[in-house]
Amino acid sequence: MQFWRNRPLMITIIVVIILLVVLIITAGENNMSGTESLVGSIFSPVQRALYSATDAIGGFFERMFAGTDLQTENLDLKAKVAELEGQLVDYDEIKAENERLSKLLNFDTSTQKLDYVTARVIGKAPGHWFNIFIIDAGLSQGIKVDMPVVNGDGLVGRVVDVGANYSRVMAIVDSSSGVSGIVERARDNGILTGTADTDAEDAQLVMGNLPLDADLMPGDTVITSGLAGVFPKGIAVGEVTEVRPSTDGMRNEAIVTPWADFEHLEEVMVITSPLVNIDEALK
Amino acid sequence: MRYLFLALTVIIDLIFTGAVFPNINILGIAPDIIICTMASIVALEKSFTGAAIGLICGLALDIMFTGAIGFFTLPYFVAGMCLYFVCSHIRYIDSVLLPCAFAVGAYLIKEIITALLAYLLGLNVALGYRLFRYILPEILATGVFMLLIHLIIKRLYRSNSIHPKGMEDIKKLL
Repeated sequence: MQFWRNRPLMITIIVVIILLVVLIITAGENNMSGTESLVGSIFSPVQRALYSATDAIGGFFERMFAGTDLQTENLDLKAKVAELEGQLVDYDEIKAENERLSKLLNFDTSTQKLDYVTARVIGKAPGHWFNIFIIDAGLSQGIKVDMPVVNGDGLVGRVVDVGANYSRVMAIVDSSSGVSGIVERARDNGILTGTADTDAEDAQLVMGNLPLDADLMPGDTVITSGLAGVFPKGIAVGEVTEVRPSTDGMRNEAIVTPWADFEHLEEVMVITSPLVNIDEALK
Repeated sequence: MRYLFLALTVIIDLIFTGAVFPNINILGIAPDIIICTMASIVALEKSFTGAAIGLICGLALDIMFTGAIGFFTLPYFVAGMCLYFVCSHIRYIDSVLLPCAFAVGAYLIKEIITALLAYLLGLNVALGYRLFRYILPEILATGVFMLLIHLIIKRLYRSNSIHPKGMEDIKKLL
């Protein structure tokens, strides 16, 4: 009887039950509701600004730790370095952005027949359960669910949800992601799935379902095969780093290191052309 | 003023969780600022406020990043309620270590529930790997970060307009 009179406990149980029901209902949904889209539209401009700012700060620290040993330099030089550092950060930022955009431009010129939308990454899913990121382009820019997302290095992921002005993109290294791939040299087909490790720094893919006599070797390039009907054929995915038998010993599997740098994603391109047109253009 | 403070807390939590820590972290390890603010506020107020913050932040994260409403909301809410149940039975002494212990415990509860939900949703859990690669280092990071967060929130709670009515004695504790 006392159990039922414990109001906090009752509130907890009721809220947990409601949330579980909502989770079960919404887990299978692919379409973003109006409320989700509205909340996302409110947060996305703030996120965009902060993501860019913090990325620059993160880059600054990375450069600082990777730099020369300042302890060996004399005090005068240190003062000079400190003075110049502020200017250098700006210069490095502009240089890095220029390099990234040039890469995107190369992709563009190699696939001129494709329609695409360039977008900025404005947020990443917290925690280590998902490898999902948010881009600042949505329905208004012609983005639809399942559209492939690439950058200058290769395949990045696919759009899984679209809001008015933002979209959710599932990276190919997410453990729920699946990409039909083909080894460029040996022409062996397999399914590339993200590993359990969703840390972008050591993100890898496992290419499973390969025959035991598959002629794969480390260094082989893996591209999309276009078989599953989501990703067009011929987009670079990554490089084989290891070939090993699967756990049941019946097939082979390859560890593939993706070329896209998921730790430093800033600009991406969403291919908006219909899949048939993309295949023709990539030929 | 109190509601403004709570709203700002939620916004800052969301910004740090979704935009700042994904860029500034050590080998993918970052503290959980939402758990830190929840633990700090519950330790000071012994109220549902922490659970409410967890509920709102979790809901916003679900809407922004997963689309599966409840995946972040449920663990944060349950962790907040556990914090309330524990804190309401402990006479709070002005200590930083106790709130740190609350934060560490709440983080662990949140991760256990998240792993359970991930398993139910068919995600690859690989709990052993995640435990040593992420969960244990993040427990440490959250505990250390809690020292800073709790000092800031304690300082803010000295203002009468921040803490709830009927808690004017809280200043003596701070």
